Amino acid sequence: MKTILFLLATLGFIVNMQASQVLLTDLTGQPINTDQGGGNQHQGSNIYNGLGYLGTSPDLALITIARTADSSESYVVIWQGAVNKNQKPPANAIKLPGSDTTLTNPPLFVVNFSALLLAGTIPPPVDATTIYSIAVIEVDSQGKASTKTSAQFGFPYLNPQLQNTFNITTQLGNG
Amino acid sequence: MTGTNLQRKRSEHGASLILLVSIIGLAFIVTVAAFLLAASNAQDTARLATAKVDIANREDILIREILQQTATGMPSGTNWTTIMTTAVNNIDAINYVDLTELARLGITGVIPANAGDTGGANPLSILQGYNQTEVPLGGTSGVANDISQASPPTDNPSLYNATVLPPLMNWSNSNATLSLSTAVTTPQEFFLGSLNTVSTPPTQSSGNRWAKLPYPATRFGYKQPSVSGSPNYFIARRVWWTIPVVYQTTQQTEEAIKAGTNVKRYPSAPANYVLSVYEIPSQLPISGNADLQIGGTAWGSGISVTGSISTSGNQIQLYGGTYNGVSSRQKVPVINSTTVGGVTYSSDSTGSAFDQLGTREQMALTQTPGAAAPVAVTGNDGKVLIMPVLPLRNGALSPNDFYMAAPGTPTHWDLYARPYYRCRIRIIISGTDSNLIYNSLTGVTNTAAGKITVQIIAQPDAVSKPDQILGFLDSAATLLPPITQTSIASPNPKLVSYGMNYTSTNKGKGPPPGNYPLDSYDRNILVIDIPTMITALIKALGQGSPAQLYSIYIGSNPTIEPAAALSTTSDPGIAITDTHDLSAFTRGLSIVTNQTLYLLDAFNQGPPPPPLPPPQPPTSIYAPQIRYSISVIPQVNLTGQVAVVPTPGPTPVNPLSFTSGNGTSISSSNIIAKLTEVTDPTPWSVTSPTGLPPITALSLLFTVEKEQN
Repeated sequence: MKTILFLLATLGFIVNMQASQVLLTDLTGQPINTDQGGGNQHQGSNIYNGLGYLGTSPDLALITIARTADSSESYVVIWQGAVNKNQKPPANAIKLPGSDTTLTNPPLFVVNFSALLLAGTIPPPVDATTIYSIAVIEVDSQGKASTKTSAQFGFPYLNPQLQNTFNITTQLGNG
Repeated sequence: MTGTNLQRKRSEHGASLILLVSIIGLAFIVTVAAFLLAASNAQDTARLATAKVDIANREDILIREILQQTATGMPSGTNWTTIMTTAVNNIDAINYVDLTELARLGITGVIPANAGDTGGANPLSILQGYNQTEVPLGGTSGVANDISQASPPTDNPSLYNATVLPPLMNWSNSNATLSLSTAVTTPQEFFLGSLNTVSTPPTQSSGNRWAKLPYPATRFGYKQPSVSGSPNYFIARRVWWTIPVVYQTTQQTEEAIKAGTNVKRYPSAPANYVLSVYEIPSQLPISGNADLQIGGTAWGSGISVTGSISTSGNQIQLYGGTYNGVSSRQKVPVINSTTVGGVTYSSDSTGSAFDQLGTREQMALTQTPGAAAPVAVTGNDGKVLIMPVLPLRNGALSPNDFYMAAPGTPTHWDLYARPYYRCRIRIIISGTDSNLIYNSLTGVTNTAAGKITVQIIAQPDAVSKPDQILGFLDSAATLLPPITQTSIASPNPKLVSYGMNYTSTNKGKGPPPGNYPLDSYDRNILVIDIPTMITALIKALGQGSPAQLYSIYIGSNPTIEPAAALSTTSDPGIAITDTHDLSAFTRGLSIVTNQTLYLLDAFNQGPPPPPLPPPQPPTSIYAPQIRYSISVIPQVNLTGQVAVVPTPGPTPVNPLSFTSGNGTSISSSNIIAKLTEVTDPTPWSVTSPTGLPPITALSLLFTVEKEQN
């Protein structure tokens, strides 16, 4: 009995001690970035061009955010610009409606990049070098906000008219 | 009394008089006989000439009918006996006057004026093919009716003459599906099993299916005909037969009739006709099996077409512009004045003004001898037929079935004409419902939605020859365990591991009010990251490579759609992504789907940063509807070819009318198309950007010509 109680106590300790996790996945479920308590590592590098792949379209630029084992409140912010390493998101970062939760294991949150652009929630790209960033912010019991994870996105193949160019080399059946 | 001694006088000259009269009489008789003989000879000559003309006409009509019947019977697998019997009976080949009708009328013993009548009872007797039967001698080694192995009849000594006849083909032993014995009796089986001989012709595809051939000397302007010393090449496979025709009339000389020697006045004169079927893959800048609309305001200044435009559909409507050549099966209506081949054609909605008497002759006088007219239809050359390669449904060619699997056990024609069976990867979607995953109007994600089952069937091609003629059955491939996801709340990680995500489009309008139209509203789509899917599949199969998995079919309800309905709210759209770099597909890549296909990004541009020239293997995309992006109206820059297969919807089809994912027509100012011709069937490599994509639309060009010894 003592052994069983010890095992149960140990198991409970492990569960309680398990760090919260955030997983960002792209349109087809491929991981973009994952953090287990980390922060802003990128600072202008590792720009993810997978939103519509190689920047040809922001369509279906869905970023799925999976948060598990959250110990307190968390929400998602987005802004136009790069990530500053180990810095808070800039003041113009927008908290995405519906992303704020205090659930330990909140449901998947889907960031629809295209809808945000079309709705004017975030400004359109200035040119092909424009970068957007997204971050998951966790607020602890003392009210201190910290960045759980972040990712950067770009559209390097936008043409000067900011159109998403489809370069297609193929035999097109039923164009 | 003075008298004349007549007796005496007669006595002196009588003999000479008799002699004179005799001579004159003889001369008269000889002259008359000569006249009679000459007249008789003239009659015989006239009979001979009449018979020759009559037989020539009969042969001409007969082979046209055989051409027609062969083309008609090819998809259904009709055998030669039926084809030939139908042909000879349709034209009353051996007796222009129906003997049965004559007998019914009580008219017997007449000598018909139709000099070519053979008087025989069996119409097929005029066909002296394989074993003296109606089965033609074939131009493929390894089949029993191979012309080069046939024993020539005494009156037909020249059978295979390599300087006159096309190169011999080879019977394909790679696919045990086909039957050698059936190939003798059935043109379809023979056609499906014939491949080019290695190195003859010299320029060929990897599996010897396609070769660079001189375009035949016809006035149908798919290409300009080859003339001596100046061949015009196209890519095709030529399968051929020789049809020996032997007409022997019943006309005899009077002497022969009286003597009962049965000597015919017109000796049987065998004539060999070469019937060819050119299998033509889509290679022109614009081609298709549908009715087409070319040019006009829908085309902006960014369209460039280098080469001819052709369809095996009924018509091409010209809305203006300048082109090299235009050919169609039946007609070419000129809606707006258009310049083709340097000739300006005025508007003419009838589609035949370019071909009317007077116009045609004037053009024949002014154009280059031996050339096809810039605008041509098959009717310009009576011994040419063109037809699309399409599957059969209820005995008729069915364009929609191009995108479908066979509803029952596939026939050999199904394995040939349905791209489904030629796809090395088959992704079959089922179990979907009409619950929308993401409503972009309300911003609500329905976590209970997203039900889907995906079955992957795959068979890597160990020899990497994407030009194989026949496909294969599902049962010959590996069926991976189906991947089922009950909703997006419980996503199946297997789906993700194959680079797939079942999500929905974001068009800002919410779900469609009914099943139609889906274009403008949100709908569920299965997004597939192509390279990720291939990588995962190779891992699951434990074999294969992109060069062996060069064709992908993605379909929902593939045996009934899009014939039954293009799509309903339960049908997912298909989106492909991560397609910028396809250089790993060194044997090309073809993607076929029976659902609306959404392109999410660039296609076949090589790896970034793009090396020059970027490695761009030959690819093709075939779908009943193709949409570019989802919610934005993009700039589309297309390089390659456009090949149109008919689908449900209005016709004719403008092949460069593009639509964005939300159903908005993309402005002509946002379209740049550089359309060129494929000219070399040899396999692609980075240094040799040649070759055809694994799957193309196909047409069959039937020609027949008299063998010129």
